[in-house]
Amino acid sequence: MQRIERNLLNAVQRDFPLERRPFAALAKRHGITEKKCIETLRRLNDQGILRGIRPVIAWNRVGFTGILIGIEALPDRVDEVAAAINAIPGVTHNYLREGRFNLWCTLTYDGEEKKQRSLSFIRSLAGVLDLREFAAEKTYKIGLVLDV
Amino acid sequence: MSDTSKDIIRTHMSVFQDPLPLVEEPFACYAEKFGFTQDEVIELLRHYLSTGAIRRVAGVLKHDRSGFVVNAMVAMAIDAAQCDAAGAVLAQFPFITHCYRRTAYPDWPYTMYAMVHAKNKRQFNRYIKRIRSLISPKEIAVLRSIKEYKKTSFRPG
Repeated sequence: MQRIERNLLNAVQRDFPLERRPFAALAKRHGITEKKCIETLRRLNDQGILRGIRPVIAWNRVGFTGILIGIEALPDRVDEVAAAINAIPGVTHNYLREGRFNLWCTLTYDGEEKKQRSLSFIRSLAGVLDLREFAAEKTYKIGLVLDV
Repeated sequence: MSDTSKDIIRTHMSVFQDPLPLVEEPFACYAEKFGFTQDEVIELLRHYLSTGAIRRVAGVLKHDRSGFVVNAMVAMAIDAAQCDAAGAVLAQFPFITHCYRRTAYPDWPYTMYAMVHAKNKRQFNRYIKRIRSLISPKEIAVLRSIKEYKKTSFRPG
């Protein structure tokens, strides 16, 4: 990655100018043109490095709840279990990990009933041996900023 | 919060959940959807930033594509009384993006969860060592990511 790409990525992660022409403001700070700034970010976006520039919504502040779920799935069934879980609306993250609970997903929902329905569905999948809810009791950091 | 204001906020959020287009005037896309001016949209974003419904307006990276190839959820067993102090220390580490205290179980004693991101294995091991030396958890489980099945932003439908 070029230096300007790194600098722009580090900058947009921190504070994106809230003004009509934010890329012009950003470009000025980095001594490049607005056009070059937009082109660079588009390229990073096309390459899949930048997922997007967006308002990061705190869904928990507007009536939704998020929960981490740990699942113990049979290793030879885990791909199909994961695929079924991916299809649940509200599942945003789903990872295969080392350890006894080998599948970890996050579910965002509104209303206990929706959560219970998703949990029952996961429990009913062939290959699922155990499932645990890991509710967040306290948040110490939601950073999302990683210097590249 | 009344149901009406909740509905309004949710409607606004369903517009704001779309990423900004990478064009000269990106806020115009929200302005069009709301029927507002761009200045009104920016005002509305500032309002939600102040209420906390929007955490920030910022670029989000795909960390495995931006050089962070060793990623793990690190679970630690820490006494309830020590969690806040440990959480404050963990939150300071730039290589930790998320940190929560979570429910523990008799057969799963971990109370603290931190997402750790590193550019290589050596760096990762160094980070874990720093966590161990500064926090001294009773037990630590490094649950490395093997495969990403899904990673998206929430959309309420």
